[in-house]
Amino acid sequence: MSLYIKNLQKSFHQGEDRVAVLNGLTADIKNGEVVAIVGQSGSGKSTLLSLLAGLDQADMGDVVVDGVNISTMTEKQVTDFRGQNIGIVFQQYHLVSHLTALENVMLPMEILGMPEAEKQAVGMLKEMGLEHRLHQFPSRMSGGECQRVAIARALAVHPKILLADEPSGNLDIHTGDRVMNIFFEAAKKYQITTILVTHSEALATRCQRTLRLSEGQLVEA
Amino acid sequence: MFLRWVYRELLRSWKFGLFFIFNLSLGLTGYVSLEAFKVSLQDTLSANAKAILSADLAVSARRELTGTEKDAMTGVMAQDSVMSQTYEFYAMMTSDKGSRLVMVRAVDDAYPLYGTVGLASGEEVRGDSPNKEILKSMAAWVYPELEAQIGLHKGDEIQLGQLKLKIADVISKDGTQTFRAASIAPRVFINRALLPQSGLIQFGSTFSVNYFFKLKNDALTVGHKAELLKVLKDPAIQIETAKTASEDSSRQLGYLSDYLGLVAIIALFMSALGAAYLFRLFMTQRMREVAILRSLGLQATRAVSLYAAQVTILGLLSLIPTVIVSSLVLPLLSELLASLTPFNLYPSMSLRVVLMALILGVIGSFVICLPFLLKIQDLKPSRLFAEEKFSSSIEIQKPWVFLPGILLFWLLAVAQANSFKIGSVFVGAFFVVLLILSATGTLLLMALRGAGRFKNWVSKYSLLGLSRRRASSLAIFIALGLGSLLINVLPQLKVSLQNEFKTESVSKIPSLFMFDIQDDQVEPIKAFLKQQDIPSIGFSPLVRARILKVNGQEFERKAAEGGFTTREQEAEARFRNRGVNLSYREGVSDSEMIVEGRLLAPMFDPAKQKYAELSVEAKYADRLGIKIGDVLQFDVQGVEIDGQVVNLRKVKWTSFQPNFFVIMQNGVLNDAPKTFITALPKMPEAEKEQMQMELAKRFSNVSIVDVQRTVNEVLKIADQMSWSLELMAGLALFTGYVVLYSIVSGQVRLRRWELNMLKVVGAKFGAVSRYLVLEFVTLSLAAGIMGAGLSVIVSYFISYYVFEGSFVFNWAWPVFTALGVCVLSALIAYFASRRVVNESPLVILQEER
Repeated sequence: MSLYIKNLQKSFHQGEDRVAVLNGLTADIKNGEVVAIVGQSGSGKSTLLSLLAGLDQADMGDVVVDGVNISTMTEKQVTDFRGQNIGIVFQQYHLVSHLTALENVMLPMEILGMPEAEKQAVGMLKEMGLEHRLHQFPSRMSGGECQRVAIARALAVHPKILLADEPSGNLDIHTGDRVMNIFFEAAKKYQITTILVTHSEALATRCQRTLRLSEGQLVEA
Repeated sequence: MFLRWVYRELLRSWKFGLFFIFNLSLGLTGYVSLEAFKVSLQDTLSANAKAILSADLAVSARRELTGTEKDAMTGVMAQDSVMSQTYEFYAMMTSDKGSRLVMVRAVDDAYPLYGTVGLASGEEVRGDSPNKEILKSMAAWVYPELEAQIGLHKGDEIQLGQLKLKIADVISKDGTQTFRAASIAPRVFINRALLPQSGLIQFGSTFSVNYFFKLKNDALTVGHKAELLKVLKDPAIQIETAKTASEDSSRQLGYLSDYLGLVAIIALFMSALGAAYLFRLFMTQRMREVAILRSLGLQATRAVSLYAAQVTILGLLSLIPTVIVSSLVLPLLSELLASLTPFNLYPSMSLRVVLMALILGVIGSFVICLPFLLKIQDLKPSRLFAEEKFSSSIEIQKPWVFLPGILLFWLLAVAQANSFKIGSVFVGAFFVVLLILSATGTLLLMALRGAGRFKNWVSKYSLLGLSRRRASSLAIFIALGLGSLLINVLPQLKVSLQNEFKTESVSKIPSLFMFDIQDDQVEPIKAFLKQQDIPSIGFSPLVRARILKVNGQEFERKAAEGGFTTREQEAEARFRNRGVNLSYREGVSDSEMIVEGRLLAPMFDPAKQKYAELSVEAKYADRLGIKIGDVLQFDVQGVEIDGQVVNLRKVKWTSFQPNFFVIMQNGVLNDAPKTFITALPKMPEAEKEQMQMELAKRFSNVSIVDVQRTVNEVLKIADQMSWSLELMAGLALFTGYVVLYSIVSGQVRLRRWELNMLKVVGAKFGAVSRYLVLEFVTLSLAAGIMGAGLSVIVSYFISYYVFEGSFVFNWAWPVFTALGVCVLSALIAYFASRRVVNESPLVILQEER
């Protein structure tokens, strides 16, 4: 699924001033491409990600996914679209604390009414090397394990686009590497268009393309 | 520095602070309003103490004082006082318009020594008023109830015994009346000098004679009372001062406020539960910061002090809304309760009440938050180094930390009920209910684990979430269960009580109850009834006596100068200090049942028996500490008779059959001077009125109670009382809902990102709302049903053990309550969560930035 970003603008109030974070940003990401977005803190990486996920409204501009402009969708429509097409991985994992690893992965599938949710979720967790942690609650798992569950959850509904915000930011180098290996393998295996926000240049080099967010614009790095 | 931190923290968490104050002040409001009402009642009664007794000192007895006793009394009182003597007794009043049982007060010229008798004509009669019309002619003053009930007016003629009297005026205010319940038999004031010719007081008649004294100097009161207690040894002779009389009145009215107080405590408990939950939530959010501060060198005790100071200040601040809202609630409460007393009450927040609220607010806040404050002490800053996200959920592992709270709750209950026993039973029952609710709640949550099999994700994850967030789910379940129980108990009891009288009125409850029947009137009355074709329920003899000794120990008067500390002491003294009516019969009546011991032997045999056998009513025995085998010595009009208790009986007093506290074996009292009581079975209203009139005319000294009318009066009073109780129960339920709102909002805040996460992974807003509402509907429906079910059990026990009546299950209220609790909870959950449910899931990303 391709992603076309056209003239995207977003600004925030800062006291009495209005600060432009995204300033007519335009980019074209091809189907199945794995793209890293790098930039300094406060450059607007997470804002961009939230607009791509349809979690926020841009002041101006379009986000077109496979020819469908999600910027003009209603809240209800964008929620449906996101559920079926976009997977998100957060830096803080954001697993539901009272659900087990298996239930966390099953949750989005069940929300979408997908058949055989449990079987698929088990398979997904096995792929992440977590077959022995199926019935553990997040509080009993390590950070690396939690992030792998979060990746499994994001991939569970077979999204066409995967958005990831510093997925290894909270992990040590060794665990981070292991998690990212799994992440890249999955993206490749399922041919998912992937956008990875990161501070890590090393991680960015593992992507097919790196875009730098600077002064509200995306430029090839 | 420390105070600046506290101040800064208070400002920073102002939303939590406001909600905490709101929760706490809601519970305090009911408690404080009631306390203010009580204080104002006590103050009013003390201010009117002399008018209530109409004297400084009064000596009264339910028999004529002997010559020696009179001499002894005069010896103490003569020099320093003015005396007034009155008689009070029940009698039948007849007129052209109907007949009624009335309470006759026969007064003399000096009455009232204090206070006034207000007449409808506008006259205020005092002791020194020169023209008391009832003393000058054959006249009477009557209570206004006689106007309302049978249409008697000024100028009408009434007959009391042999006296034909004209109504000279209607009484508009009687300073001695403190409780309106007394109006079951309206008072009629007559001239005491007319008594001999009235034929109303005969041998065995029930009456009380009162000697009122106005002292020249107030200071003499206590000394004179002590002197009188020395010379008048019979416990059946009451000696009261104005102070004790007002305290007695205050206690009578206080019974209601005692029970109101217990309901208020439940409201207080629920608000404390809400406040504690809020604090737990607040601390959950602060634990990470505390850990950071600790890692930077802040001592654990200092950290505890920081939050303890904050809680104390919040407790202190909760006083402001408490006082404001109480001032608004007080007039309403007074309006409801004041209908029971003739005094104009102007309750206000006295300094004493404000101080009490202050102490309760501060200590209460501290005690309820103590378990969570102690968690700060135990917090290990090393958790900051843990790999996983800082988990700050507060679980209490040491149950003893709740002990101070439980102790405070128990102390409040005992103080409020004025009874160690009632207070303790209340707290015990309360904890049993809590235990049952906790157990059933836990079972429910365990059962919800099975929701994992559900196909629908909303039901599945909503119910699974409930079962896995055990602490908060249980807190909500208990708060709602308690609320549902409370609101149900009173209507349930009322239905049982009403039904009891209704059922009895169809079958066994008599129409008329007659007492003070002389020995020589039994046969004429029987003949009259036979002529009218009315079967009597039987004539029961009544012999007046007093207990001299129990197991050889003198049975002495019990008095407490400073008033009794508990209700139990007061009840024991009341029973001990009065005479006892003995009767004799073989077997037991329909309305009584032997609970311990054996039946009395049919006939006393002096050759074989040392003591006559006695049957004693179980509660009476309990109050006086009498058990089976005890030997009681009675003075029966100068003759000493010994009896031994062989059984204890339970009596159903609401049957209105002739029943007695003490029944002696047949063959002992048969020749003693006695009167009789009897009852006439159910008859149509018109026939009953006619019969009452005829009986009153023919046997003018006999008192006749219209049972159904009395029952209706009692129910009316019960209705008035239950209104105020329902108001308090309503407050408790309202508090429950505020607690629920607090918990739901807290939960929603805490789970904000979880709800948003559902939206991120594709859940529609409506589904997220259903997800949350389903949790609360499940919990509240289960809690509502459980609370309503428990209320049926609690009402059953109260009906059975306290009112000794039969229990009638009323299905409508429990069903209505359970559904009501469920619907309200769903609405609260919906509105409390609306903002979070409708917000953009962007919040998750924003939190990370």
